[in-house]
Amino acid sequence: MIRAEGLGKRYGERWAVRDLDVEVKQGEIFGFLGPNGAGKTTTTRMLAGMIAPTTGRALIGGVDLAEDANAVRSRIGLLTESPGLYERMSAAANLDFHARLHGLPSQKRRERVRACLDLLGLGERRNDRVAGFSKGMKQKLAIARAVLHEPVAVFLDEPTSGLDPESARDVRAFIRDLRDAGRAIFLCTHNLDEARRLCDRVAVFRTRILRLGSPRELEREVVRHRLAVRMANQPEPFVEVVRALPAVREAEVADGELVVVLDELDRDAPPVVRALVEAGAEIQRVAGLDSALEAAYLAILNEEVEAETAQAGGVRG
Amino acid sequence: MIGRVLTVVVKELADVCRSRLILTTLIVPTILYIVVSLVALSAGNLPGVAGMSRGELEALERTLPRNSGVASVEAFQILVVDQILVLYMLAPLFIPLTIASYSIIGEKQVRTLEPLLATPIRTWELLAAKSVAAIVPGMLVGWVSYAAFLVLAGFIATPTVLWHALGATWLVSFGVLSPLFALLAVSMAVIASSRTNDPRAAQQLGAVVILPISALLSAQVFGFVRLDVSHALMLAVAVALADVALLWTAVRLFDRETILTRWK
Repeated sequence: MIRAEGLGKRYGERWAVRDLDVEVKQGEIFGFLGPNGAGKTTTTRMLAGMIAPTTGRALIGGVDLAEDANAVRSRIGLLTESPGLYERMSAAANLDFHARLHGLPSQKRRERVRACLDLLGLGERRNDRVAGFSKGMKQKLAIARAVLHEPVAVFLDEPTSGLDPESARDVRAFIRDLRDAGRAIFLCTHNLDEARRLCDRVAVFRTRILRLGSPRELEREVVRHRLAVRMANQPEPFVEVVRALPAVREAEVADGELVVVLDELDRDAPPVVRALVEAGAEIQRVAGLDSALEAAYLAILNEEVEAETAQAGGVRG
Repeated sequence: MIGRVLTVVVKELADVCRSRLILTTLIVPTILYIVVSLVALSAGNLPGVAGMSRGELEALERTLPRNSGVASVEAFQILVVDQILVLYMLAPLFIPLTIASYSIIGEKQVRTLEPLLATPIRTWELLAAKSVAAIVPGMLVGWVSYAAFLVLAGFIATPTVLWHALGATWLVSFGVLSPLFALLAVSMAVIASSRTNDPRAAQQLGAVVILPISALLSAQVFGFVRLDVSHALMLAVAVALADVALLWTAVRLFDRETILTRWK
């Protein structure tokens, strides 16, 4: 549905995106993770047919961008970093304007505007000016605009950024519905928890793809998980108990809790808890200490920085 | 194709109607033009003017040979009418310039340009729509002023003066030349608007086109150039060609990538 082959973009001497090979299938949510300035927006703009790549090619729904960028733009939906709505127009008028630009016939236009507003909970505010909307409502309206014309591929840049938890939950549910309806979704996000919950596959990206896989695969491949165990008795005597278990990589006491490092949380936590209970620990609480995907993400970026530093040192040497 | 142009034009005009500031800048000058014009025309009825000396009358006739044979008051009023109507023709040039200067920059500033460019709208469609939408308010000011002036002048001026104001040259000028001139100025402003991120610079660049147009119209009023119907039509064809060339240039110069990536 979305395919990039050797896609690259250079500004002067600097490569913003390099050698991007990726394919996002129908009914898949693809997470594109990377720090600020990594080239995520440039990639999105290239795939959306808004800027021309320096190298490589991209196809959306089988249409080559280089051959017909306009046809590509009619097949994609784009949620930009900022909602970019006409504030003095009503919600329905904003959608109607874009529906007309996409060439939807009048009956279909009315239906889609109504359906999209209702789906995102904005039906009752359809005739209100956007200027009076909250940030969350504007974001929902911008998402509605992106999917109004039923595109085959949807590019979402930070869709839940700045939203309250309830709105963020609604938006995530809507994105899942889009996937279930067979859209290919390209999701740029900094929110790693969101990527973990939503994405079928993720790419950690900085100018080029550093790692690609499902969130689980990346977590397994790159990080070990930390399990914090709070107990009523002193934790120190139990350090050796858990260290004796094969799944445990490390164990120590920190801030009055027993912190255990494991390969995989879901698989390895139960035997640890069982061993502690059998050894007499009065467990009060067990919790994972951090988002494993976040840890994986940071580890991958760190690896990259270290590799670059080593390379630079080698060149100087 | 035309549907997308029309969509953007309608949306832009609705924006104009929603903006009190723009509406004020359209309505107030229209009223002022009409009031000032009628006051100026009334001056032709003053005894001092009616009693122009023979020498003054001859000098007026030498400047405006088309007025020979009419009464001195009428000759003066025709001179005033010519100047007033030139003023009305300039209105559709200056007002759209302000609107056009903000056309692309404004969208960029309120961050609506990127979603707009993500639609299948073609560059020429977007620029043509922005240009037409910028012209319409100014044209309305010019035409409404002209029509209101003709109606109200009927109470002050003689039929000879009115027929002069309704002459073929002026009808062609208002109906054909004026929109084409306006399109020329606006296309220039739209080009500037898509090449700079400062609306003031865009406005000044657009104004460059107005200077020769103003000079031409002034030369016609003061008798240096005689613009009859055939000349006006020939000029209209030339300006129409220039409009097409300028729109083509605008499309070529409109760089989506620079606008999206370099403008902050």
